[in-house]
Amino acid sequence: MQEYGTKAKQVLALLMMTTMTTFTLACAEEASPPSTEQPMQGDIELGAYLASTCASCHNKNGPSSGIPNIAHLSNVDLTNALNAYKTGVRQNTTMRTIANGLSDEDILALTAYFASQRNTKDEK
Amino acid sequence: MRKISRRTFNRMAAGSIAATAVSAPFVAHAAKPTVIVVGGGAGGATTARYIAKDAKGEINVILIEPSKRYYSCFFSNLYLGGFQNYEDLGHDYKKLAVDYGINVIHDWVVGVDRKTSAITLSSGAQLTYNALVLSPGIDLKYDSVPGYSAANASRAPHAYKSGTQVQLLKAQVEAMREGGTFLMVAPPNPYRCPPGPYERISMIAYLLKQKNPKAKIIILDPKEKFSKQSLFQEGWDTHYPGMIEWIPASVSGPIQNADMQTLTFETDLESFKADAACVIPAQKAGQIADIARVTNEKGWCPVKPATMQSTSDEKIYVLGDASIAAAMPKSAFSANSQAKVVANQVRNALTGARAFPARYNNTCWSLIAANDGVKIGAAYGPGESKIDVKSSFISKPGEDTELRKKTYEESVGWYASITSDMFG
Repeated sequence: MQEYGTKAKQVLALLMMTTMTTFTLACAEEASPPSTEQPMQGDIELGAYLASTCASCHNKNGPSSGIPNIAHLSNVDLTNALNAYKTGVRQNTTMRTIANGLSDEDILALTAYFASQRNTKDEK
Repeated sequence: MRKISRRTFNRMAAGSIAATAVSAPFVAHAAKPTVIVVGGGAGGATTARYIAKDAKGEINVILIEPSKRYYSCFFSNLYLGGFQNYEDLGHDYKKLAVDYGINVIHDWVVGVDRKTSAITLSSGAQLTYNALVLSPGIDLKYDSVPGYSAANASRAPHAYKSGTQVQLLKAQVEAMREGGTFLMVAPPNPYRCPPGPYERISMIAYLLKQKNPKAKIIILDPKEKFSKQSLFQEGWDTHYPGMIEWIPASVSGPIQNADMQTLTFETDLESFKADAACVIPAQKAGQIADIARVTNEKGWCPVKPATMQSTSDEKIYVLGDASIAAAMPKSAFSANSQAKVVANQVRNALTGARAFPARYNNTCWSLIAANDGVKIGAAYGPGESKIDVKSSFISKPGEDTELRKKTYEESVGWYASITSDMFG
């Protein structure tokens, strides 16, 4: 009995390990990074809140006098501009101070919000 | 314990209504919440507009402001220098009412009953609130300069609440005798717009250089240093050599008496006789903050740094110049930035909308002469007991003229944007 019992336990353990491995693999597949077909989505509500800071200086309705209109910028252009201020490639001190406070998630949220605004405008 | 948001509560309430008989008081409680915003400047107008815009009809927004037309204090110095038309400083509240559905009431608030969450207007009307936002700006402590008073202020206009006093000040500078003396009494800290008095000196010097080049300017200052000091003093030496004399109180002693008939300012050092003058006295939060009992012993309003809620009443938010938001300066930019945080927090409190961590910003531009603009600014975040600087910047002495021109043009762009952000 004892011997059988030990063997049975060993088989059971092996089975469990196999199952767990399979399960882990399955999970890993599900949790794999999104492909280029599924780009990460920014948080539009956070983006709207962050964009309220932009609106203090960037006039979305009027012409760009002294401070550029940014409402029309593509996601790529906006992201590049903010990162250029963060890294010091672009020099404006006000923008560098603001961009330094933005995480990658914040920038993604901002681009998602600005894109939603452009789409709303297009529909009108 | 999990907090029940207003929205969740309303859903629960709706369930209760379906299951039980409806009583009238209960329906009244479940009605649309109301926020009352007092003061239609950079803090109040922005807060009202953002709540109305983002709440999409879920919150009644009432804005109470005595003036039908708002004349901005910011950029009024540029009017003195001839860089801005007076009428372009004026803005009205029509868009906020028509496009955003804000109930704009032109009246004074004369009472705040925190127990019943109600305010009283000078008309006698009473209004109740679920949240009260106070953005009253500043009041002046006239007697901080002995001899100066509200009654004689037109002899030496403070011009620190914009409006007709700014026009009066310009007319008095223009009427000075040839080679006469203009004198400014600068305010002690803390006060609205830290570089403001010194930008004003620059703009008056610019005006005098063209119309009265032998005139002199004296600044009697209770402070030993001031905002952007090295930038202003460098600019004064460059553009207006020999015209401006800045005298801190450590040199002159305090002002013993200001004779407003003769415009003679007596100090320990000597008596200064002026042909035109501007007295900017010490300041405190606008009167409504006292009425609401949210001021401290110095006359300013302590707030929680993460939400701008008064430390003495969580249903009351105070922002802008009236609040103690140090390290943020008292500026229109600061007030406009704080307004975004307050609007978000009020929507969270009243409708359960998502609240985001407070982020604050400020930039103060100043014009020293034509196309010679400088700026100072910072990003801020809430600390344990106060708002802290995250990072900051300031223009440097000796910058090239092209950068200074761009900085000025930036300020012009900002003026157009912030006023659009305030009034729609």
